[in-house]
Parts: sequence; structure tokens; C-alpha cells
Amino acid sequence: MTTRLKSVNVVVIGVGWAGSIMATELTRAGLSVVGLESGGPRNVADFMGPSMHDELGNQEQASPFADLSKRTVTFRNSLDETARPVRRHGAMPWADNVGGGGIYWAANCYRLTPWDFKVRSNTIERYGAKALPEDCTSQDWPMSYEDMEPYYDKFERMIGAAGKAGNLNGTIVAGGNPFEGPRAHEYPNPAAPYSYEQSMFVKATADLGYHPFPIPRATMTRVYTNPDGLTLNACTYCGHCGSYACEMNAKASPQLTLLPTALASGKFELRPRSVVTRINLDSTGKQARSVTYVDAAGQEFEQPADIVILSAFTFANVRLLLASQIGIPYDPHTGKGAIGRNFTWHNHITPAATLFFDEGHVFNYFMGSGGYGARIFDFQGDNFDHTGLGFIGGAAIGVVNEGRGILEGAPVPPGTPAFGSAWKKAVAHYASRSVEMTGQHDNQGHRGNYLDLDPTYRDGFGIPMLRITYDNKENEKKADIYLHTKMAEIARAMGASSVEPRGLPEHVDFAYRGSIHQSGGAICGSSPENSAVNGYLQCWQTHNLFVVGATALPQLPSLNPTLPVGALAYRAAEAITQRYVKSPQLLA
Amino acid sequence: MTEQAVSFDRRRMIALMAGATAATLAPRIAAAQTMHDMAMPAAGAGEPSPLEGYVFLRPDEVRLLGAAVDRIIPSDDLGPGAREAGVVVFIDRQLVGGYGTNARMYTQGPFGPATPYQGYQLAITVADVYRICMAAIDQYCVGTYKSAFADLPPGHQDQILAGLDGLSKDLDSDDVPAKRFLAMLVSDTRRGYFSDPLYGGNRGMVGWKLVGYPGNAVDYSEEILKANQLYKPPAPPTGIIDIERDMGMTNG
Repeated sequence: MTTRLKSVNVVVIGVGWAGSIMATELTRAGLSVVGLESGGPRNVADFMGPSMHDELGNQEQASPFADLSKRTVTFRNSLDETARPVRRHGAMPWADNVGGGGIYWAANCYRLTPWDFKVRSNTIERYGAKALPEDCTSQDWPMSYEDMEPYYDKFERMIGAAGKAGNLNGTIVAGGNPFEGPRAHEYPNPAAPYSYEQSMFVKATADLGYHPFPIPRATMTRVYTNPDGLTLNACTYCGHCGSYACEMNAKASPQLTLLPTALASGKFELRPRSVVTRINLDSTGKQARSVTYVDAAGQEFEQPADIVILSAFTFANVRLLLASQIGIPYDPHTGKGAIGRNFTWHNHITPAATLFFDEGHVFNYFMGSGGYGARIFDFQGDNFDHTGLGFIGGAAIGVVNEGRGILEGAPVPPGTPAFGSAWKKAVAHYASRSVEMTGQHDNQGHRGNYLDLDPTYRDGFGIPMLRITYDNKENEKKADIYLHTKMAEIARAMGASSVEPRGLPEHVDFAYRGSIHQSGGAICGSSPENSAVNGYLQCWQTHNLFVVGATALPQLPSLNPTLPVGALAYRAAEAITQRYVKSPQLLA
Repeated sequence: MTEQAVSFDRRRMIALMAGATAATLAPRIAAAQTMHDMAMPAAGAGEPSPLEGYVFLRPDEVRLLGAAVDRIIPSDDLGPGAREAGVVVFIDRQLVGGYGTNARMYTQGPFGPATPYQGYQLAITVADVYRICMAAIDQYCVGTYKSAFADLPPGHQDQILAGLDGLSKDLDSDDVPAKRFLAMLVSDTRRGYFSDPLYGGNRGMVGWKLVGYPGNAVDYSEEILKANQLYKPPAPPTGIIDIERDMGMTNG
């Protein structure tokens, strides 16, 4: 028995960063908004507690994250395999709560560079069409960096991003990232001074002719009040950041920076523990008329709305589109269809290496903050000449102090036995004498990496689970080899006694703890033939449905997805409030 | 609802961590947001009483695991090893908890052949895996060497743990590849050695002392900018129990 509820202006599916931005901006414009979040509530008081730094509970057992006993995704490397359920969090623990991963993220906030917006046409222009890998489905964004700049600025201001501008209105500024696009304003908060190991990296890379800069981060470098009057505290470098909630209220989250504003408007009703099972279209099939969901008591409701925002995590967005038969499902054999295409992921945090320093240097590995580090973009994107290299893209490389966990002991140099006194001795010695150097690959779209509905596994509601088909491809493998030579060079210049590289594996291993940067599957583009949504994230076939999230990214640069997702959300919200509500139609 | 900025005294926090008498720090968020003040633990106020007794493991399993974890992280001149640190008790409690019972795992079928890249696909629980493999290891050792694992010479135990002995082939099955169990055991031993003592291992904080880990300290704003200076952690390090005692939680 489905209870039909009173209609509202907007229903928001998924209340993480994207959904919280939409709720805040749309209520600010006077629209009535219902937010449906499948997970439970999380309030600021929940960020505190005696177990706030318990690594076993938070990291290894992923207790803050989604309970997979209820529903999960399935995974396979290639089309000729049978996908199996992801039964246990490993490679990518995803969230399921109000605020989403925005509570537990490591708060890195980079902007895409101008080049990232035109991967396909830039590559062809500089190197010729043959430089694009045969299976590469990367494509240009329908807008430019300049179009996005004001929205990046707005989101950075809302979350108190700290950093140092490298390009202010076209003027390159020393100490910042010279490869970034022009910014209208400096960061809202200053970068913190470099740590000891970061300083070693900065000196080594500068001496090599590269351009180190402080990583932009939304872990506060000072007490900060955002434009809506919400205040965050200064970070204390406790070393328990990514995968942990911040008990200091120093890490930007929807709870700290957005939701109080939305709730204070009186126009936002947040319903946690509401699992959306379907977006319902009207009889023409061109408009979304309502959303069906089930509450914690198992009761089914239909929530009608004028506008539907689908802003859940990447997997949930694509799955709901497919289950609701919206858009054309991607067929990897024909290349047709946009829903599920161009799924990208920083599956392993590579290129990466552990640097060991036998003597002369000590590092306090347990101190740190999300995004607190130094990086170079000299090998990201097309910032270096790829002639003759056989791949496109690269990675941003850096040294970050986020606080290293100890449940595996500590890194030990190659050749150390896996257990026994020799292992113990190495752990005791190198715990404070090792430094991590990391990068994340620019991940291109590839024909065989995609999302669809699993043919076998269904959840408790009888809805097929999302199937991931994904593996590492030749392009990124070749890039990885090249990037490791650069890492080794930097490590030598830093004075490391030995280096243990961690390269891109032959196959993506789902159990390996990587990142939760999954993107694509409902990408934005210039036409219905090449994308699922337009530049305002509006569904081509269903113009009152906006799919807001990392699903929109046509491919995934070497950068954490959150800042582009937020900027896209602000741009979409502005288009909705200033144009769509006055004249409902396709906006681009 | 706006929240007020919290200004709290970092010097007091650092003093606490260095062993000053306990005081409650109060970074005050708007009253509606917190149920209690967040307190910094008084360093060195104490450790939990060592957890004792076994809920899941049988005597022969306790003997086997005691011997195995003792080889994985031995007692030596660097300090007590995994056995003394209570790692067998840790494993026992883990096996009856969510980890051992696959509580938050997706456990629905169908189950079927999987590639090595598809993670855990067993139709049995982690506790089942331990029980099956421990029995198989002792069965193999008795059958081949006339001794249980625990009674073998240490060098021989090391061979078995490294997967170099014939055990690997004998134990291997579609159900539980031997290498997977051995990797799980090494990993769980380390977790038991380095996790908070409340979980039963890391008795006397021996794991944290080995790696100079301070525990649940919070404020390193000044420390993190010091160059090439090893931070001196409080003695002993602060665990969850210290925070709970400071919050007055321990006896309800």
C-alpha cells in the first residue's frame, strides 16, 4: 500500500555534499524541498565520542560506512567474467548516512585545470588523433574552466578551503600551482606552513625544476566563519582524518557548512532512512512526476515533486536511472547509450612509493590532517610533453601528512621478512623513518569500464544491484611506469636510503584499500548523443530531473572529485532557480 | 542555528598530554549540539584491566594460536610479543564479534567461483575459516610430524607460517586456500598487537610503545611544525579507556 504524499517543489535523493548544496540553494530561493537520504542521521554530536580515533573500528572494520548486509554492488574486471557481490568493504568503503562521505573525506579540494575540460580535443590538437588510445572514451566537457570558476570560488568559500593561489587573474604567483586555471580570488584561508617531510619534498622538487605548492584542503587552518555565518574550528593535526569524523569541527562537512542553513530556512524537510526505489515518469515519459521510497518501518511512499534532484553516490545515481528506465543504458559492444558509460576510479592510490630513511631524519607519522601536504602538477594532465610516450594523462605527485595508521605496524623496506624478530625490529626502526609519496592517476574513460544492472543479484526490494565492470588499462599502466621513474628521481633527491614503489597492478583487486573516487556513469556533454546530462546536469530526456554528483565527470583527472562536484552543483542550482523555475525546459 | 567558534586552550591540552593532573577541557559547541564536554584524557591515568578468558576458542586452538602469534610477533629484546600482548584473546573476541560472524557483510547467494580480485566470496564466516584451518593445520602436523603445531620446533613453525611447507598444498581447497588463511592470521595478529587495548590485545600498550604511538592525543598544531624532532609520547600512551574515565563513563 503506497501512501501518496503532498507535492513539493523539489525532492532531493541523497543528502551528501551534492544534495546538501542543492537543498541549501533551492530553499534559499524559496522552493520547498524534501531530502530523502537512505542512511541514518549524523549530527555534530555524533562526531565526538571515546572511539573517535579508534583505527580498528573506523578504518579496518569500516564501522561508519554502509552496512553491506542490506545491499551492495557487484564487481568484475572484464566482460567475460561473472560479477560477484562486494561482500566486505575493502577497496572502497562508501558511506550511507546524512552528509555522506562528506563527513569522512580527507578534504582535498583541487580544481580541474583548463586542460582537463578538453582532454579529447586538446590531445588531438597537440599530438594527433592516433595519440588517443584505441579504447579511450574520454571526451570534452560542455563548458570551460572559465565557466566553472565562479562556482569553484563559491564552494571554496562555503567550506573554508585553505591554500595558496598559483594564478590570480592571469598572474602566476610564486609558491602556488602555476598549472592551475586563473582564479579571481585568493583562497579563503591561508595554507599552513610545510611540515618537515613536506619541506624536504618541496626543496627536492624545486631543485629538479618542478613547481611544488601546498595542497588545497578543507581542514581549517584557522577559525573560519563561512558566508552563511557557520563557524568551524582550526584543525589540530590529530592524524585521524580520512575515514574519521572530525571531533574538532575543523573539517568541512555538510553538517557544519550547509545543512543548518537549509534547515533554518523552514523550507527543507530532511527524511533519513528513506530508501528511494524508483523515479516515476509521467505518461509522456518525458517528465519525472514523483519518487517512490520506503521508510525504516518498511512503509512505501510516493513523493510527488516539480523537480527531482538525483544526488546520491555514483553507484546509487546510475542504478536508480537504470532501474527507473531513464535514458539509454550503455552497451559496451556497440558503444551506444550514456547511462553507465565512462565509469572512472582512482582504484589504487598509485603511483605511490614508501621512502625509507635509515638515519638522519625522523618523522612523526601519527600527526597530520586531511590534505595537509605538498604536490606538483608537473606530471599531471598534459603539463609535460607526451610525444613518443604512448599514453595520455599523468598524475599529480606529492607528500601528504594525513596521519598514518598502525594496524599493520609500519612500512618496512623491501626484503624484510613478513614476520618474526626481523620484522619487529624493522617496524620499530622505520615507523618514524618512512615517508609516503603518492599520486592518483588521471583516469581516462575506457570502453570496457562501465556500470550496468547485475543480471543475477538483487537487493531486498527485488531491484537488481549495480554491476561494476572495471580494470586497469594499457594507457594508465604505461603512465604508471613513467611516473614511477619521476618518483624515484624525487625520492633520490630527498635523500631516501631506499624506496619501495607501489605500482598499478595488472588487475584491480577489489579487496585492496584504495579510494572512494568513483565517477562517471551519467556524464555531462554537449548533446544527447554523447552524454546523459547537459552542462547543468539536466537529463536530456527528462528535463525536470537533474543528476548531480561525480556521475557527471566525463573522465576523472588526478584530483579528488569533491570540489568539481560541488562547483557543478552550485552551477546547476543557479540555473534552476534563475531560469528553470521561470521557464521549465532544457537549459542547454 | 549557527554555531559559535570554539576557542580552547591548546597549552592546557599539551600539558595534559605531558602528564599534568587531569582537568576537563571544554571546547564548547552550542549546547544543543553536544551531550557532554569533550575531555582530553589525562595521560597515563591507566590502562584497562587485561581481558581474560575465551568465549569461542577451544584449548587446542588456544595452544595453536598462542604458538603461531608468538612466531609472528615474538618476545625479544624490543619487548613483549603478541602472545604476551593478549593477541589470542583479541582474536577470540573478534571471532565472536562482527568480524568473525560476517555481520556487516553481504552474505546472500548465489556463491560461485570468483577471481582473486573479487574479494571475500566464501559462503562461510571468518570464524568458520579459523576453525576449519586450525583443525586442518594440527591434523597436518600430527599426520606428518607426529606433533601438534604448538609442539614443533620454532624454525619449523616459521616454515609452515610462511607457506613454504607442504601444508599449503595439503590445506588448499576451494573453500579456504591456505595462503589466504595464513595472510589473514598475520594481519589479525598485527591488528591485535596494535589496536586499542579495549579490544583485548596490545596489553600494557606494548604495540604502541614499540612504534612510539601516543594513542588518542588530539593537538599537534605546534608539534607538527618542528623539524626532525621525534615527538615524545606520554607514558603510557592514552587509550580509549582514558577518555572514558575522564568522561566519568567507566562504571555507568
